Amino acid sequence: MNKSNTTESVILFSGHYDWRKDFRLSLWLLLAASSYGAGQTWLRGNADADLYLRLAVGLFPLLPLLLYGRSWMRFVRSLDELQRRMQLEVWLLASLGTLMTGAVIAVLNTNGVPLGVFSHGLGIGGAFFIMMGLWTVGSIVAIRRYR
Amino acid sequence: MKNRLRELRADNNWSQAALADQLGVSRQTVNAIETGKYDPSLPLAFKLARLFEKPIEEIFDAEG
Repeated sequence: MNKSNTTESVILFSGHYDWRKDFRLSLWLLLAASSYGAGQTWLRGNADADLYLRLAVGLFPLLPLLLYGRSWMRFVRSLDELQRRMQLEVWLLASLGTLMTGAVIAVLNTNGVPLGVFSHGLGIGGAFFIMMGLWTVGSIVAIRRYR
Repeated sequence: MKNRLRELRADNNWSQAALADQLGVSRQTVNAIETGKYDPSLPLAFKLARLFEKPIEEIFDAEG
């Protein structure tokens, strides 16, 4: 019988961390982040470049991000029923938390509250950071609950 | 839902990890079922019944 994957295998310092599994899961995220960084640098230095080229460079990180989503789906499918339920709850918390944070930032911006780096909204980087932060916290709580 | 999983596992001298391995689930799942924090799906309940060679009603008590 195959051993089931667990959420702990992709959480640092959980005691069951497996860097190979984490690497397989996060490889496309690393590519998305690095292509986003490189793309933004290129866009800042090439403001006069062809519009379609600028759009292609700006939107390119969505491709590895999509593949990152596919890696996650495969990982979730490899989990057993309890672990899948935990992930459903944790992703719900992360998505709703990010949505609510974005809504609060939008309301504060609209009403002229100074928010520094968030003065133009949460942005893709901020949204991702908050989502992964909430996912990590939620996963740790879920792991402790069913330990 | 109450169950006799811990008792049946002990009768067979299996650790939670050993039972989990035979069921193809994580040790946490076995622990969560034993402590009543999680009720297994019907396919997993059938697997348990087959493994312990007992009817499902002898392992799980829906009234509990």
